Amino acid sequence: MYESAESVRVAFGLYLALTFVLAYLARKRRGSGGFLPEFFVGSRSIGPWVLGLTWIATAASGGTFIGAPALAHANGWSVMLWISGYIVVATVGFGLLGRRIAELGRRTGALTFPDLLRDRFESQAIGVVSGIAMLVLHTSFIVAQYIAGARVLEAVMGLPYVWGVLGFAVIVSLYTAYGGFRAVAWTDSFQAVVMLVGVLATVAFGISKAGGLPATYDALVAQSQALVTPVGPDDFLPLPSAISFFFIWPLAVAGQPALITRFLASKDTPSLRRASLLIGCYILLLYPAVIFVGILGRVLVPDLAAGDHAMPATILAAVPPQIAGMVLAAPMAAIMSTISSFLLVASGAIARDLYQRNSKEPISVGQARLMTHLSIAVVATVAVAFALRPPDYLQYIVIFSGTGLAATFLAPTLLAVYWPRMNRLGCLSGIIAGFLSFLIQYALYGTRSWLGMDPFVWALAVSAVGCVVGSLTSAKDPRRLLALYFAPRELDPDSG
Amino acid sequence: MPDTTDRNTNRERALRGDAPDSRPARREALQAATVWLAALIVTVGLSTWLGAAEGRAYFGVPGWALVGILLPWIAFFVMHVWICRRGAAGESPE
Repeated sequence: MYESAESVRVAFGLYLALTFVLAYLARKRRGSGGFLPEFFVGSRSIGPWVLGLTWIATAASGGTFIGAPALAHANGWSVMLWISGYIVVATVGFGLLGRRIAELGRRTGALTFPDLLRDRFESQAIGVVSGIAMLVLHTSFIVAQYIAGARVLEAVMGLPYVWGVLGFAVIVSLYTAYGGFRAVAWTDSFQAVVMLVGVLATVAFGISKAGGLPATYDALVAQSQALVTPVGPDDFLPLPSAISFFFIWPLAVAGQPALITRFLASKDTPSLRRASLLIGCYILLLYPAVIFVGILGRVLVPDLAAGDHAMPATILAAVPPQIAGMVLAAPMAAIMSTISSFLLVASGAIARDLYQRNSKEPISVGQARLMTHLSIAVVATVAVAFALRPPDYLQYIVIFSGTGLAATFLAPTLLAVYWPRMNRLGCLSGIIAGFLSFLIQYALYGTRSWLGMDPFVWALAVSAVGCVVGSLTSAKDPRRLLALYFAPRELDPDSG
Repeated sequence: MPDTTDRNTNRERALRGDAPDSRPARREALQAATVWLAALIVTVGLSTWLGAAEGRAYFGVPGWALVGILLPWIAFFVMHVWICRRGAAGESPE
């Protein structure tokens, strides 16, 4: 534990209280479109500010706030190159799928990501397979967030790790189950503001405490020249890895089902565009600053009890104790916002994609509510069980589950919404090929697969090939089905 | 609020009218992919090339990080703003 003050506990308490107040207010404002549309996509009424902030708060997880500074603490400036794919995350994250998914969501009434794929191909199997894959990978992502949250509480308050994990599980599950998507989006927005203010304040105080940026640079060089090179110490980021991470960040974000769900909740296309602008600005301010925190931490707090303590330890070392509590809420906010969004998506996979859409009879609102709340409890409990045995560096779980999701779903989703020739077999082949090739590469080669690239790069390619081969070797979808998704002139190009 | 949930959502609405043309969205997707490729070449290329030489720092930032990452970040942000504004031109709320 690092030196902290009573004000930290008070600020944490205030932050949590505000989060619950927002969840309560959000529930009061719920729309009239029925329980499931309200619970999973906020009745498709989310405007640009909340949409942008909930999108970025979901994307910026405990990995961003705990894992990335920990890597920067260990590997110095090379982590700036490692994270540089975020330069185009807003452009790619919204540009690849945003507009099309939002249009199709409004047209078809899809509430979850598997809904989209299942309806596009009228295939129960696709709904079930994608629901299961999402459940597994999202749950592992939630595990990473519990670990990150418990690490913060351990470092700051000396709270035993186990209690930290349990605390996060209970608090976030409660407000997610209580308010659904709208509560998650509203609390995310508040948390996104807390995150940005907290990180920028830490950088400002940290630079001042370290004696300025030139002094920080000199102190790093004094520790090791490798800390200021693009490759970093111990060959941390060779060229193939740098290229891989430029694939990973923008494309993993674009193919992330929890973020695709945000497009389904958007009010209209202009809202999406304004949200995208907001996110570009936010990312430009946030991500370099997060890496700066780790670099400053290497100078201010060179010795850490655990690698993942870099962010909280730097805050406690740099920021005056009177406001450290407010600033420490930033990593808490990042973690909680991601857990809530992922809990919602994982519980949707159970309640909507595996249960409701496969039930023979319509289920009542009461049953739907009970099933949704039970699903949240089950996912949270399973994630807690796994989080009780944490690895040393959180970022590796985050990368595994994030890239696994994108390797499985990005190519099938892109081709499903843009290519009329894509069919059911192509979609299933793409999902299974992406998922299996990703897992096999990880099992055989770890994080450096063929040519030194990350398994994600090859799994994405294998998934795309699976989609194309599967589609071209089987019959086209019936025109009746395609006409629901593509304009007549796209289906009959010769008709003009 | 209805007392049952609609298993198949409101898909029957899709039968009304033509589906939206996917081509404008596809153009945006291709534009995003091009920007991604350009950013990959500029950022990783410049950082690796400049980082291989003897390092110099500017205002406490390594030269390769300033020229290869932070300045391109600003440039690509400006491009992102331009893309969003161009896409929004002539678009009305749905």
